[in-house]
Amino acid sequence: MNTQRRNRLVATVFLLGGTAITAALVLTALEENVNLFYPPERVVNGDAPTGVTIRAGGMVVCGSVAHDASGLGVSFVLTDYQGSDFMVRHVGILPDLFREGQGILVTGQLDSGRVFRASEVLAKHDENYMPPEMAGIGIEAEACDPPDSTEPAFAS
Amino acid sequence: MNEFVTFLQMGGHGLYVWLAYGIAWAALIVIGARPILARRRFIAMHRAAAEPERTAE
Amino acid sequence: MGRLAAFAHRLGSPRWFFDITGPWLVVLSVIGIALVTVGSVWGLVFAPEDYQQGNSFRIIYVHVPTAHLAEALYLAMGAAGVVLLVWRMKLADMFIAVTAPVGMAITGVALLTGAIWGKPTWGAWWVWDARTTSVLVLFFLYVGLMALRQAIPAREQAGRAVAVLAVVGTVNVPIIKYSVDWWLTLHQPSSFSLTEPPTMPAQMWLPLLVNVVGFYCLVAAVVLAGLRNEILERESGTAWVRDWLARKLRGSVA
Repeated sequence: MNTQRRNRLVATVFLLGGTAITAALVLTALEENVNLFYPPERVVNGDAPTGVTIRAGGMVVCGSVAHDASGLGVSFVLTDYQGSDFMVRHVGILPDLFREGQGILVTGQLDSGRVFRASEVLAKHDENYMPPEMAGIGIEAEACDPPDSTEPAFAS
Repeated sequence: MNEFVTFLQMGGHGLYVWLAYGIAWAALIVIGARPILARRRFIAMHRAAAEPERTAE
Repeated sequence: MGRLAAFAHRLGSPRWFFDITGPWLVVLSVIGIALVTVGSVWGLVFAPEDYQQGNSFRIIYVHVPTAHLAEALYLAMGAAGVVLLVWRMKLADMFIAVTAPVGMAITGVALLTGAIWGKPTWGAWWVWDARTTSVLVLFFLYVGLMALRQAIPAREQAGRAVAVLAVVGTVNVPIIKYSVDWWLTLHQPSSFSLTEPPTMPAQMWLPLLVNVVGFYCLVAAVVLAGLRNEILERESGTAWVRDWLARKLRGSVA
């Protein structure tokens, strides 16, 4: 390779390397802010602010979903299966995929009692797609079996 | 016939599924047609440029 | 001169490239159309529905191929950018020029099909998580490449400026790929990887594989066809293009 080309190659490598390092530094600095939501652990330990609109996420605890006798109100508990869980209160429509044992994101505010007042509920699905016959007949029951893995998705 | 309608409805998700596939197929057709048309245009342009010479002969 | 160097040297000749790629174009188009047809029908009709998502899961068969391609095309442009900046190969510039609009369209499809899939599953068309946002950035990088080329009138300078942006932008690709592992996102982790077994049964991922390969072939054919046009236009004054055109106008070349 002649000198001119080698110099251009070196310059290009520096260009790419410099950009990569800059991006890495910026993203490291932003770290927490890039996360879309607070995992249960950070809601419970007080990292998540109260009285400000935030997002939090977790798995819906089996048996915790309680619909109001009338109206669209519902409350449930989100957990990371690792000892942290918090109560959510929502009035409104739930996504189709909302069910016990499912990963859920909630948008809203933590009140002073550290109950999450959700204005929006989103379902988070995983990449383990399956035909219904493989998942067994009792889908709800299936999802509520003891977790076969301690899902890292909701741990920080 | 009924079976076909059921298929189109996709258990209530028909609009989403067909919209997604429609967009994907339409995009493939558009990006595929562009070079074919560009090539035709290129040849037609040069044919037009060549025509006067031929008639002049 | 080694074999690789000899090949690189010949790649420097657009005419040689034009001559050899005619048959490839036909083969790639035919295979691509066949696979996408098979994969789409398989995915729409024969693949089972998902136990949670039902039929909206079928959107995966157009979303994953386009999302993969959106990243792969950008990486290819980045590589071409390095080749252009270091070796000043004209073909690399043409490749970037032709690929940018194709990549933009494919990224647009990935974003739109993702949004359409998000509504029935997540419950929202769009969420600003690390994955969706970094793919949106990718879309604007494609737009930026095209705008930058338009903005600089001199072809050679434009080519180099665009190449710099193409190289710099590749930094975004690993961010897209690992966003779902590095940060908490709503988007699920990859469903398809070269190194790990798929997380779904064969009856679900086989049609996906067919469509991924099919989309790659089709897009490769589109880029190749665009490149051949670009070569004809940029070399339109040369003797070999005049010869080719003369044969073409007589109708002796298909």
